[in-house]
Amino acid sequence: MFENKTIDRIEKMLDSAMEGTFTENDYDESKLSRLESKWKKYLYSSQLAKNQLDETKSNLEALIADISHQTKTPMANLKLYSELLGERINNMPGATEEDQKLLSQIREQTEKLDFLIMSLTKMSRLESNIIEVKPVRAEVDSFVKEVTDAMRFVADKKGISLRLNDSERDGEADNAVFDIKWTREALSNIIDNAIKYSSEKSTIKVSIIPYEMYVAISVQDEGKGIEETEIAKIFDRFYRSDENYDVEGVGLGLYLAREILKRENGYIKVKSDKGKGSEFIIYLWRG
Amino acid sequence: MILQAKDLKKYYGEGEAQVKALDGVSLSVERGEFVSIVGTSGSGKSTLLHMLGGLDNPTSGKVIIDDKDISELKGDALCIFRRRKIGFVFQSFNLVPSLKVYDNIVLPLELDGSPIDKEYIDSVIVSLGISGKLDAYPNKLSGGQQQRVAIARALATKPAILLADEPTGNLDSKTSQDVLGLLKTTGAKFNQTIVMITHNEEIAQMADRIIRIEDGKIFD
Amino acid sequence: MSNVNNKKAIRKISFSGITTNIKKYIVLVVAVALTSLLFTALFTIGGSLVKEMQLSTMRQVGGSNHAGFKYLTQEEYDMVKDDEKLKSISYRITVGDVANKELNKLRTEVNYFEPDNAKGCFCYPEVGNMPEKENEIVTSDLVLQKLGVPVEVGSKVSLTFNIGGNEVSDEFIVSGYYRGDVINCAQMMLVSKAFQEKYAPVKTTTLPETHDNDYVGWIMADFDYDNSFNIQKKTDALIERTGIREDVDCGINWAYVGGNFDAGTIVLVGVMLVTIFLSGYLIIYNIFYINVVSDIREYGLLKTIGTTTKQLKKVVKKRARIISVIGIPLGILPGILIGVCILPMISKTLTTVSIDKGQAHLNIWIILVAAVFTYVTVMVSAVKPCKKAGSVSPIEALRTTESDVTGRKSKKGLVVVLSLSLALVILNSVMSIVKGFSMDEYVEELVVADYSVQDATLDNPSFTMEKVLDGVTKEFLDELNERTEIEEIGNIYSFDDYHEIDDKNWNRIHDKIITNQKTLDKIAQMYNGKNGVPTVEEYVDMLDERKELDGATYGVSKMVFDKLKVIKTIDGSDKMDWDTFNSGNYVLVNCYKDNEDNIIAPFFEPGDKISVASRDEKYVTFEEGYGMSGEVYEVPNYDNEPTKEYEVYAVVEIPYAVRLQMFGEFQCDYILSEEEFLSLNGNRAPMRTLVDVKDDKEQEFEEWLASYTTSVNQDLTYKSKQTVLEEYKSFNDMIKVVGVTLSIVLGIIGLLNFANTMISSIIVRARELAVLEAVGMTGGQQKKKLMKEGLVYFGWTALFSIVLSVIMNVTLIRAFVTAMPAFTWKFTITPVLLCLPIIGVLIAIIPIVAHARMCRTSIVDRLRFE
Repeated sequence: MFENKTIDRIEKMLDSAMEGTFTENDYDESKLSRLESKWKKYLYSSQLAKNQLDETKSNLEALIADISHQTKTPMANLKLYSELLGERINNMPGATEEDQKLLSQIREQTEKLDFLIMSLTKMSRLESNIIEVKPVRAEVDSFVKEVTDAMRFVADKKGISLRLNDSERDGEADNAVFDIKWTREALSNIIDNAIKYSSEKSTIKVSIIPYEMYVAISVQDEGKGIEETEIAKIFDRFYRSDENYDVEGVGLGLYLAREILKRENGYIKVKSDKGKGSEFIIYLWRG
Repeated sequence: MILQAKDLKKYYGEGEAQVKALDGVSLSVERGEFVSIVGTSGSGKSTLLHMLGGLDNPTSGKVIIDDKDISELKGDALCIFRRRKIGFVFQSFNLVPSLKVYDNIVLPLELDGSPIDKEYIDSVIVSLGISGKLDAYPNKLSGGQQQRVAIARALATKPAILLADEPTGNLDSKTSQDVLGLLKTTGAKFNQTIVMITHNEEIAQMADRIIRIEDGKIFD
Repeated sequence: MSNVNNKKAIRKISFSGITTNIKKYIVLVVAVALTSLLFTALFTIGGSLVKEMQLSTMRQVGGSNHAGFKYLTQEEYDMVKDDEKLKSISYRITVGDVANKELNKLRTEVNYFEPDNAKGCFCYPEVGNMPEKENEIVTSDLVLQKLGVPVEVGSKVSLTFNIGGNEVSDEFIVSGYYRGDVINCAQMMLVSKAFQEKYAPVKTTTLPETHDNDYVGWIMADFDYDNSFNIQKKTDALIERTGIREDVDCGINWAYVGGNFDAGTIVLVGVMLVTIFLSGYLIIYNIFYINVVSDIREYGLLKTIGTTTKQLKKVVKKRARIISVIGIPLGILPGILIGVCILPMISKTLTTVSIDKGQAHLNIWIILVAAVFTYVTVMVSAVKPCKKAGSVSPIEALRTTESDVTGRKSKKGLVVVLSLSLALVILNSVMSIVKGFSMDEYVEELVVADYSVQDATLDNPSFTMEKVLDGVTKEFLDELNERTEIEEIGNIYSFDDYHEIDDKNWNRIHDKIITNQKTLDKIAQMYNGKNGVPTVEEYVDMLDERKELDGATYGVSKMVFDKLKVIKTIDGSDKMDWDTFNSGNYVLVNCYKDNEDNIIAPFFEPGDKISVASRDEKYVTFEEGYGMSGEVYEVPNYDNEPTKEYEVYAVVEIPYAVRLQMFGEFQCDYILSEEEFLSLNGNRAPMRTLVDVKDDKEQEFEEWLASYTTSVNQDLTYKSKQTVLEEYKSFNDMIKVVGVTLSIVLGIIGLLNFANTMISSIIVRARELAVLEAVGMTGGQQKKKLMKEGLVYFGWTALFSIVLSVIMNVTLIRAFVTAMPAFTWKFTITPVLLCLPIIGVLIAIIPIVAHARMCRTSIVDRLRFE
């Protein structure tokens, strides 16, 4: 008798699950009640739900792939024609200063568009796990040095001093589990951002802070800082502060960085003091 | 929508002496979100967390977790609901002192008589960096380690929602960073919904979304 | 519906909670062990005494088998012997009895026994073997001693058997012997099969059909069932099933029928049980409760993470069970040891068997029952702590601070105070009983002279055969009179039978005594109309018809006369004159008393005329009568005996030591002077002879008396003032030992309780104390604070124990003591007053020790402790 009752109940659970209206009935010590709880859990983590999610994702991904693919040729053409146009303007006796300026505007915008498309492609690949983040154990200190050294060229160009603050480290080396290639992308993005939003002659400090569970890489600038209300939003896709519209960028760098860190069990944190500068801290998981 | 609070009110006392700990709080949390509720001491944030966790009954209003109105549940049913749906992380860790770390972690599962998903538990333990401490008793652990055990315990049942009450209130800032980071990353890793209350703005910043509460009311 | 399995979790929590807090639980285990010890000791003693009494009854009855059929032929026996419902069956065959003169006073039956039957009848040879050859016998050491034969295998003995009226004399060899007990109805002599077949062949015609009445050659079958419930019913069914004749003589062993205990014993055992239960409850409950309260955060936390009320209760219960499993066995062995030590002291004061007296009869049931009682105590004690743990509210527990815990101090304190007081009150009660013993009064009642000489059977309550009322021989008296140590000699003569009462006197007795409400109440206890016993009304009618009362006729010499207690005399004074009494016209009478020894009314008033019948042997004829198991008795019958009329000179009380120490429902005694007694009844030896000896000659005289009663005349025994005093002392000692033991254990329990309360209060408040220390309270000040708390407990304990002791003293103890002979009620509170300082010191020391232990951890650690 009990058996029948139980089976009836399970059937009802299945029916309502198919209709998407399943709710749990009772909470008590019976196995049936536990089954209900689990069933509920299952429904949400089940293949069904996943499939739906995957479908949406792959649609989006295909769209982006299409966009990036379809824009490649026009983009190349655009670049080619602007080169040709440049040559012509140079050879043209009647060409004015104004013409040169317009041409460089076209080139600049083309570059920007190209960068945007590249970033979008990266993002979509990252998001759809086409490119996998493969964290491995690696030394943090040398990694940071390598990235800072590479970025120093950009900073120098803007007259900004990029300092790696490793004096306190005494040659100690900390290991963490991270994907060197993608983390380089993330750290570069953050340093790049700092450079972009810093004024000339200012200093950007990069330092390594060890924690029990994490190794943190802090990038501290002396820029404008971020409004408190903005902090939560800066990691959003395509987020750009209204104030910073003059600065080159598409608003994907921080988003990408966050996604990368998330995939290697790390995270990013921001501390900012409006007017005095910001500090971005990357936490790499020690594993 | 995993968690919904509708017009929650909690009054203590009567008449002149009446204290409105919560005065019409409504909020909702999406699955997988990490939300922090920030407010000063006495703002009603702890009361709110107790309501959300089914530890206390509201004077009026509803709390709906995983489509279930928990105000309908009483006594042991509520207790079992908590066991299966809610993971708690407290300021004072609140590990069972007489149980070893591993037993503490799997206790909610064993209370439910559930089979232990070894792989999952192991990955939680590894993520939280407590693999080496499983045979120790809680009082032999540092505060940070204890809190990590508490997070592991909260995650063990794969709860619908993890409620953290000032999880770093008893920890120094360095350890706090570790614990918060782990809360955030493991939460993300296991797609866990987290609601954390704190009075510290910087800690609140760790979350995806911040809800501010003052004098028993939410303000934006 | 099947539920989820979470036993493992419960078990894990329960176990780990104990192992990580082992110190806290050791106290609990000790408490349980003490409770188990008390119960085991009580049940060892109780169980052994029940067994001893049962054995005593069995010995009186003569067997340990459940039931038996008597006077069977072989054919009849065969009908029964194979019945499936019988667990065992064995038989003996009646042969006769021993007619040797030496055994006149020790009836000895001659039977052939199957070995099993011999075992069941307590006569299986403990030394040597069953008789095999025709000239071999087995009997008791008592019989051998009486016959004057060495008590050893191979002794030769000349015996004369009375077999159905024929005498058979021969020389026999003792092939074995057993230890006899005077409590047995009859001693047994076992003969071989060969002898039985030769002289007492088994009967072939059934009892109703036979014309023999020689009681020779009958099969007496005894059998056992699987258990001893409803033996009567089972036996009735057996008769019907086997088809044996319905009027077969069947006997149910009343050792199995129960009713061995009077209400007093049951009340005493009940009081002990309740006391132990209560003290066990008090301590276990208290410690458990404290444990739960000090772990309240843990329980709250468990609840927060989803442990249900039921599960929390299960955890506490499980812990109780674990503690029982460890504690109960720990208490059992010492409990048995204590029981075994105390047992002989108690047994000594009871009338039971005379061999193996005071021996522990241990069996698994006693231990099991003790274990179960302890277990029940533990579980009952755990009920409230269970509720407490289960009812914990999650947030409250998370918020619980020390002040909440100590808020329950008053309740905890009450338990501590009660358990300490309980010990003191019991100690005080016991000591007041012991102190209440009044030696003088006791001596007056029990010892009226330096020595009292009588037949050994007379005052032995174990001896159930006919008592010898004329045991003091002429030879002894002759020798006694020649002793120079003597100061005075007095004789008591006695006949114990009944008196016919004339109509006039009867009517008064009927009105004043028999129909007195107090009397009716008293006899109603006995005559309840159940099981064939008549009702009170029927009994009274019977008395009225018969107009006879049980009673003895005594003859006393002047020395004894002087010891009688005068109630009232014919001239209204309280003095009696020997010469007047000795004139030959007077008789003394006694009073009818209730169970508490209060006089209801004298049977006769001074001045009444009563006629006393002569019991001279000249007028007696003997009739044959049959006892319960078929023994033949000679019943004396008096016809046409002369009577003489006397005037009642005074109403007196006869001291216990003088009179017959057994009595009927209406014991109406007449006392004549020695001379008058002898002239009325013809020559007769005294029942007792009292001797007063010169003070400095006691030792000399006693040596002579001892040697005379052991070597010259073994039938005689004597009682000295000294032995009586010692006899009493042992009873007093028993109460002392039992009471003091109980008090000590209860005291330990109380102190343990206090220590635990104190220690846990210190542990719980470790942080509070640390904070106090941090703000500058010195260790000394802390200790003072703790001691002060201890003193509060002490103050309440002192108040409680003194008040309760006083109340107990003037109520229960007073009632108990007054009901006991030889005790006078004396108010005392000294034991409590003496013990209080000791407890006071301990109460002051314990918190200090506990505090010192706590101080071993640094203040910083304690501040951190949450």
